[in-house]
Amino acid sequence: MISSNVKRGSAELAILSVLAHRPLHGYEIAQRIERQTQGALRFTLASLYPLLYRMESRGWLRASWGETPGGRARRYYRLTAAGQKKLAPLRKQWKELFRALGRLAEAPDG
Amino acid sequence: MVDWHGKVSRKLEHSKFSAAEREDISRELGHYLEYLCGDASSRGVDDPAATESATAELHEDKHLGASLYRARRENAMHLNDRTRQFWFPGITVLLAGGALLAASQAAALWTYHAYAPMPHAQRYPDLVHNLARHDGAALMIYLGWLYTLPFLGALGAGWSRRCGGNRLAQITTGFFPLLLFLAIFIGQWIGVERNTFLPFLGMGSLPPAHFFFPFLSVSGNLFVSWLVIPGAALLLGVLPLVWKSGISGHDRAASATVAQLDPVCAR
Repeated sequence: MISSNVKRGSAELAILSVLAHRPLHGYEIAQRIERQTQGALRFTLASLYPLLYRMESRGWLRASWGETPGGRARRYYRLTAAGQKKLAPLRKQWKELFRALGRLAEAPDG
Repeated sequence: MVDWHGKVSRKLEHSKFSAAEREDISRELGHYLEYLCGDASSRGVDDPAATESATAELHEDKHLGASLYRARRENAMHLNDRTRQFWFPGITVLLAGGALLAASQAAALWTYHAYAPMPHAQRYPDLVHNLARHDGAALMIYLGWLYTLPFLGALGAGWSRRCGGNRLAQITTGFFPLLLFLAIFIGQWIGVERNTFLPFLGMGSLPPAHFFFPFLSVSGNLFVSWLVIPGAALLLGVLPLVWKSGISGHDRAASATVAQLDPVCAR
């Protein structure tokens, strides 16, 4: 069972990563993460928005109302400078964590 | 056409949000559910089933309003890395060092007073002054307090390490109480220079000047007693932890990730 803190940490990385390319609205964020992780990470409304709001409160994201290409108003999230600064070390830390876990899993018993 | 905006608004009606904020959030979450429903329909799911599925997602968290409210108000509680790894543990061990010093002095005072009552000395400063005249008693307090310092040093360094602090942060956090001792040293030094007595925060618990090093001046002794010896005691606690944290950069990065997941540090 993966703890909620692990899930939250990985979810933050996922959101920062998809927003690194361009601003997206909430549903696009959820869809893009699901597609890029081939369904391994899936957000629902109840898991996505508290996280987006928390990251916005921390100053990693900025949200503003904008228009879709079809002219509909949507709230778009973009990375702030603080969010960009957070992304690189977060990526590195998670990569290292998984590498460390991989070494542990591959190590012979004893 | 389902009124998602209205559904979300009703879901959030008992939340603590202001009306304007609730309207803003309802609009945003309503759009999300609209997309969700539209997507399901485009995949061939019939409308009632798509609506039911989106409604179920809206009601997945019974306390959605409270979760969103907490998330939006988190900023005031959020600590950045430097605060978590350095300031917070550092100030805590500094305060703990002061509290331990004051507590050990107060405990010794009252115990001493119970065994050797001093009728002429009833006020706290007089009691401290009287106690400080007895080398043995003053030394007992000082040594008793000194024994706690390695634990404080270890606490500071360990706390910082647990929150992902690097080696420098661990060392400086472990030595943080020295700031307080520096203040006491300066206070005592001024007291000695002006021939006054400063009986607060352990000022009176210092063994008399020239107790340790008769060849040193009074200020030299104060310096040794309040900074060098306590610093060495803190170092005793800090050193094993910092020694143990001599790990590779890769593992440090991994431990920083683990620190973010630690409930104590992941604020």
